[in-house]
Amino acid sequence: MISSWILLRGWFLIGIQSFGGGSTTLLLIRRFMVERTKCISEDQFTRDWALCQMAPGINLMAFAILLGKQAAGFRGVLACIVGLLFPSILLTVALTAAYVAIRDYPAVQFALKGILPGTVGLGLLTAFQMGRKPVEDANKSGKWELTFAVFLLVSSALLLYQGSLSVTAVLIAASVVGAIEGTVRSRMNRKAEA
Amino acid sequence: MTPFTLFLYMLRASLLSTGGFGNVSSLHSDFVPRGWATDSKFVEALTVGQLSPGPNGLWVVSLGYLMLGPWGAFAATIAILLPPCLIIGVEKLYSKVQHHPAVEGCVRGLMLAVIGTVVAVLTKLLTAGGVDLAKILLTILAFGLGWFPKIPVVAIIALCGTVGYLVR
Repeated sequence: MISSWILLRGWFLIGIQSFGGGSTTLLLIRRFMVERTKCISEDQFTRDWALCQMAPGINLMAFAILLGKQAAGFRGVLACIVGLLFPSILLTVALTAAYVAIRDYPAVQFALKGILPGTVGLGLLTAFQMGRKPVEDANKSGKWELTFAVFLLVSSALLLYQGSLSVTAVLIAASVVGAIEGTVRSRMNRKAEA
Repeated sequence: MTPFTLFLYMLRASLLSTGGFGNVSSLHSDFVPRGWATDSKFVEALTVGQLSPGPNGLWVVSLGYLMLGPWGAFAATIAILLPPCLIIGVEKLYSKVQHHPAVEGCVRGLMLAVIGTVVAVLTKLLTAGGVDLAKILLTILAFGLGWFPKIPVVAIIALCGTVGYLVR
């Protein structure tokens, strides 16, 4: 079993190097856990990452927790999560505090007018990348599946945008509708096969 | 609002979403109508989240700091730390039920709705102060540049900030 200190050091380095969001971090984690220390197998890495897409909250944190547990038990979890988060949380707080100190300058206010659409554009890109896989999967399963996926996506966006339902209500409704559709479709498929 | 209230709202939002970004829609609808945070605080926190290293989901820590100072940042950290711990239980449970059609359908429905609501909130943030051509062009520019992993996010934000400063 790998020592917790090596894990802590490795994940600390991942934490300070992972500028630019998830994909860089994933690459760094893979290099450290699979290629360098070999404490996680190739297969395990892929399976764990898929599983973390189901976990609530930040997928990358769930991934750190799961890999840490498999590599070195509870102490491994602590080492990976502290290593990953400690430097980045400190930097996030420092950046925010620095921003608060300068935000009243007119130049900063003008710059923010341009940064708003920039942040929204990057956010929309993230949403697009998140949505691509489920929509592509639906497309592979057939026309009805694709229509249903697009319907869920568009209707939840519209319901929230015009403000007729709360976010929680939209999410719960979509889960229930999804579960019903999944059950009905599997029954129909079974009947068609029989 | 106390750090503990902030913690509870952020915990609920993280539990009900997946990905670092999925909680933006519930937090926005919890905080803005009550006057606890403004649209601009959301944009500022999201920007800091894009700029700082580590998971993008840390934008919530920045929001906590902007709302309540260091204690807000602390409350936010704990709130986003707890939900991913459920992965240990999810791992055990999911291997048993993952192929049940109702579970598959439920997870898929939730995922799609999370993405839909995120798009809705981002659109609200963009259109809050009125829409003009420059705003739309900058949104498309950032979307397009973000597509290339080689271009650092810092450069994209800096470019948009400079354009905003120049066209004031």
